Amino acid sequence: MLQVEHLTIDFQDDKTEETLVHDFCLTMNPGEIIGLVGESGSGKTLTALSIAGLLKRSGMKKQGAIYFEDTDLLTCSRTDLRNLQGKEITMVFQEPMTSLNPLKKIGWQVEESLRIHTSLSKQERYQLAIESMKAVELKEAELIYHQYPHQLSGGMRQRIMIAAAMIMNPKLLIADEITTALDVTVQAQIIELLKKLNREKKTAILFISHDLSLVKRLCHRVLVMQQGNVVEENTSLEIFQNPKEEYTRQLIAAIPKFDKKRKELPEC
Amino acid sequence: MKLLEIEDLKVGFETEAFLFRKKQKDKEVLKGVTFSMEENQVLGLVGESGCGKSTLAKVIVGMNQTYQGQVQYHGTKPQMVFQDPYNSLNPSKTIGFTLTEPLRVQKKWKQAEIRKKAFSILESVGLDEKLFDRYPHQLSGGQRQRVCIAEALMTDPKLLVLDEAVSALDVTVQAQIIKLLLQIRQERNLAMLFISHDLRVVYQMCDQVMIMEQGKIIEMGDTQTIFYNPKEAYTKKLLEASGIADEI
Amino acid sequence: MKVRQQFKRTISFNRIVGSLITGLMVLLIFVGIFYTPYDPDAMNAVEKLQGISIRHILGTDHLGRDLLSRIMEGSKTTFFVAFFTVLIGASIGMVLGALSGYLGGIFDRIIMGINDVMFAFPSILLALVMIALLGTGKIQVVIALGIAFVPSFTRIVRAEFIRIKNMDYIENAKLIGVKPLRIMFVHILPNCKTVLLSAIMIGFNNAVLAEAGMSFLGIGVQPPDASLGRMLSESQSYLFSSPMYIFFPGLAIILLVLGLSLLAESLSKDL
Repeated sequence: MLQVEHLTIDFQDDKTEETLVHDFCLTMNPGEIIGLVGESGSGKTLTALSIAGLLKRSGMKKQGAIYFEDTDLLTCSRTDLRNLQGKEITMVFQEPMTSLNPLKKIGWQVEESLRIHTSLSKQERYQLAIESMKAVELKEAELIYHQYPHQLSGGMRQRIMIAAAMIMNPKLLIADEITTALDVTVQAQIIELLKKLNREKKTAILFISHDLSLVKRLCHRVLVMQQGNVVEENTSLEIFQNPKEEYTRQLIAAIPKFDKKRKELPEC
Repeated sequence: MKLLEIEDLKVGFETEAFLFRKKQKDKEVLKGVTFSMEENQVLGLVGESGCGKSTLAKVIVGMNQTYQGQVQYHGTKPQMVFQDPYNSLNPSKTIGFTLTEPLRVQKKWKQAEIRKKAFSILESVGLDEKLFDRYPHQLSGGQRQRVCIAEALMTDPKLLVLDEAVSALDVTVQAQIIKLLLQIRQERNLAMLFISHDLRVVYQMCDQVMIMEQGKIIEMGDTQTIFYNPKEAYTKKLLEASGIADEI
Repeated sequence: MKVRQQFKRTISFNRIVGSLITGLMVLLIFVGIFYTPYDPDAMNAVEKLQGISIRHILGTDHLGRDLLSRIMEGSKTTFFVAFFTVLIGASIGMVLGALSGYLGGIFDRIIMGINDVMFAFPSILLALVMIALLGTGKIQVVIALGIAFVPSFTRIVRAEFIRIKNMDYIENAKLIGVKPLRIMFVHILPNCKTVLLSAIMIGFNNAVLAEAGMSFLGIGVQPPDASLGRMLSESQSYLFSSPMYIFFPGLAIILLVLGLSLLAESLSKDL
């Protein structure tokens, strides 16, 4: 479904020329959950943005190709790209406090992609929005429909963002650090929600995170990135049980462990 | 020896009286918190956002004066390290200025003494002397957090309050900072109140843990006991949510 | 990539052109302090309203005074009036804004109340009232305009202070025992420099225009003193008969404002 071939992103300045993402390859099948793991500055968000077609075309030098069902997102026309965005490929961002427009009602924002991509009537849009909000386990969806973002908690906002992203039944959902700003109990709920959506709607999910323990619980396959390079790719189980690369081992070692006796701290 | 004693601490937010609006008591954030800390003890404080963790931290370091109850500390004033290393350093000041400021405002130190001390503390948090004249934007997140820790140590406090001090960092950097903190604790006989929502980190850092829910401490005890034999349903819920319950 | 390079080029373009224009105007003003080709106030009934010539490079005005000399003199007046206006406005505004933003509470309410009242009147009207109280003259114009400019600076500085005082590094500064005044002026103020610089530049330009406006109305700099606004006002009757008379003072105002704007813009990107 999604095939990224040798994606390289360069950033150029009059002083430095930097390669931010180097030779990134990824094949994603429908309904798969892939985890993209790395520390800040490893290029994972940049990769996600370019897959979502949100990286400015003129801003950076990009090589390679991103095929989404035979359309190359890097070279296709802007109209084609816009037709995919919000319909087939959607994205949810890290910060639930800033990703919703504070001046618009929740319902309006959930419906937005329907308004752009379909010609449904107001009534039908309302129906779909309520359905979508119920699908992300928001109780009292009818009430929330008429509320404003500041009336909701961080976890609820993130659910709204997911509801808005899922309303068109996209084939690919890109989740960029969506649990980072949330409390642990809420994090766990969002992970369960993503699993459920994946199971029921067969949406493929590209889950970007620096939290390996969450990735372990959610993803089928994991890509580990370090300074713009993919250093290791394997199934989730293999990565955690038999990490091959030194860097992956370091990342896993950095997750605090639970043993009966408290272990000495890992060497880093 | 007791370092900090808190007894029946209550904090409520009030809306100010203005024109025809009466002074109103809005919401109690802390509803009677009682605990004490020993020298060289690392105490974890766990809870979800909005439970009053940060309010408690602010009362302890003296940033919030509108409380009821008893707060007593013995020894030098506790210092605090904040969550976001990108917000807790003044962008227009050099690292050197930030480090020396706590002693400069005390007005009883000589310039040369302050500098010497700043350099030695910079070294003990594992930073190069070269950083002295740099600005925060030239530093990485981990380096910034080390500077914040160094600044807090300048006045030789006996208690350090760490409010989500490692939450915003990458995992490997997080591990390094945790290690640094434990090392400093040994060297300086320091006590720490470690506030976090990340139970894994708390497990690694702390001797004792307090679990806080809606302004109350609902469970308190040795880390091992709390993690392996939690009594309260809320504690169990937290452990389950972070995936720890499966690993134990 | 191309976009970035173009972007870079505009920055240096702004800086080069800005400093050239400003340099030219500053040169004109400084030379004007020590030397002008003619006495700017010396009238000559024979050579009235002349165009460009070798004797008078920019021509003469309706009283036969040398235009170049008067522009040098007028630019000097206008520049210093604007400079001191901004100096007064910015320093009072800075202190009031800092106190009001940092302390908040009743003090903030009073300051902001007065501010709002002042904002309710056009600043030129306010200056008019003050001229009525103080009388006319250069210093009076500076005081009147300076006070009229205080509210806008107060607002800007107050907004910045409110934003910055809640940052963790300020909380931390309080924690380590820094006194409020030191927090305000050593810890917070330097972080306002970007906003302040652009406010000062906009303020300076407004002051140039306000001085010109006031002199145009006849309540600013009094004759025979030259100022660019005064010259514009005097030249309007001869707009069609000798267009050069109105063109050069106008050009001087434009250059003064434009040069500093470009320079400030390029500088603020570096901060």
